Amino acid sequence: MLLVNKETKLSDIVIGDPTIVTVLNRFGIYLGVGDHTVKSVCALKGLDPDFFITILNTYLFPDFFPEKIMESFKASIIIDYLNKTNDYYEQFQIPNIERHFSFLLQKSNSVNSNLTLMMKFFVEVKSELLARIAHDRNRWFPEVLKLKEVSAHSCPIPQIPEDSNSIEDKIDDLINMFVIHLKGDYDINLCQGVLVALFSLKKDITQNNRIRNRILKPLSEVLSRQ
Amino acid sequence: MSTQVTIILPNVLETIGLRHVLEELSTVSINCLTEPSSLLTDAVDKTDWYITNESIFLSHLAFFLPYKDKTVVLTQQPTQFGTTPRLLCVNDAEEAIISSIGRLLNSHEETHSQSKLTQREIAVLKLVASGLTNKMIADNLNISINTVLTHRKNITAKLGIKSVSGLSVYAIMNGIITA
Repeated sequence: MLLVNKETKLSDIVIGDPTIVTVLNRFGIYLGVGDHTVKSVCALKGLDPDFFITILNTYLFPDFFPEKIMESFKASIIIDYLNKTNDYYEQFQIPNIERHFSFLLQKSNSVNSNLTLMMKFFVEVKSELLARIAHDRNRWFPEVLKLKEVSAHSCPIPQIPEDSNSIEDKIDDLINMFVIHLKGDYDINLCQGVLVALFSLKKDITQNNRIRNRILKPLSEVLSRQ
Repeated sequence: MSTQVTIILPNVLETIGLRHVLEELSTVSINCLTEPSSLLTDAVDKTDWYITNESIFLSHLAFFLPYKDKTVVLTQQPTQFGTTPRLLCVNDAEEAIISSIGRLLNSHEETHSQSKLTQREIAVLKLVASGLTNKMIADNLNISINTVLTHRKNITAKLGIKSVSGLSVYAIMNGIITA
């Protein structure tokens, strides 16, 4: 697939990678996109097309390097997107994995204690992710928004170390436990359901972390020193 | 390569019977002992399945727990074949016993991911999963921190598990540590 631009049709983007639907939802765009292009849907929804395109390309192409482009956006628009992303994790993706996992445990042979252990591990990952969301919502984002008129472009962005990415690592571990180490009796369909949901969350978090760690974090460091 | 089975039983007649059933079912290499302490390190690395009885299993828990997934314990009471360690009732019907042992020999491939870890890597994994730092592991095993890091890197490469929590879950799942 080619990089998304203003003339790209939304239907082509979704058919190219259906998981992008979850990102479109955060901009108030749902299935049934008709013939809309990026340009026309942005006009309809009142979206900044450059920001929308940058987010889509960041999600679709792991090698896409948005830093220079992102520097021109205000912190408030980045935070608004990250807030919607957090809401999506909290309201849809985590409950979806949890629901599938619970059904999987109910349907599996009671002697398969490995699934119970894996569920406990998922609960640990969930707690860590929810704690990060609470910190974003209650502390980090409000502090940055106090200086909401400042754009990233107006100050130099220093190089600082990235997050430990432990949430990403743990989701990877859980995925590998399913893919490589799963044993015993289990419901095949439900197991695949959990796995697909985990993959989806992992992909989303990886792309989201690039925006957090490489754009908003350096920006907030600079703002906090002013 | 044939499946390597180590039978650890005190009763000679039981050992002969088991050996006969195993040889009938598949091409296996069998090692017969009366207790695990007489097993050479080399043989431990090569063993795909241990077959023992309840009293030997319980009196040598420290030896068997790391190999829980590839141990079969012979019991007197009827039980479900499929738990870890696997339990096999010696009073079951002949057909049921042969069928259980047949499934066992066919499934030995399933244990290979863990058996890829060397004894030293299993020792490191056990300490990582118990929450020890790299320095503590190095002191405990009398090796350098760099060696510990190399073992950890190899463990992650072999298992696909990176976080300490994930390694702990794996270690519990495979009987390397207890919950």
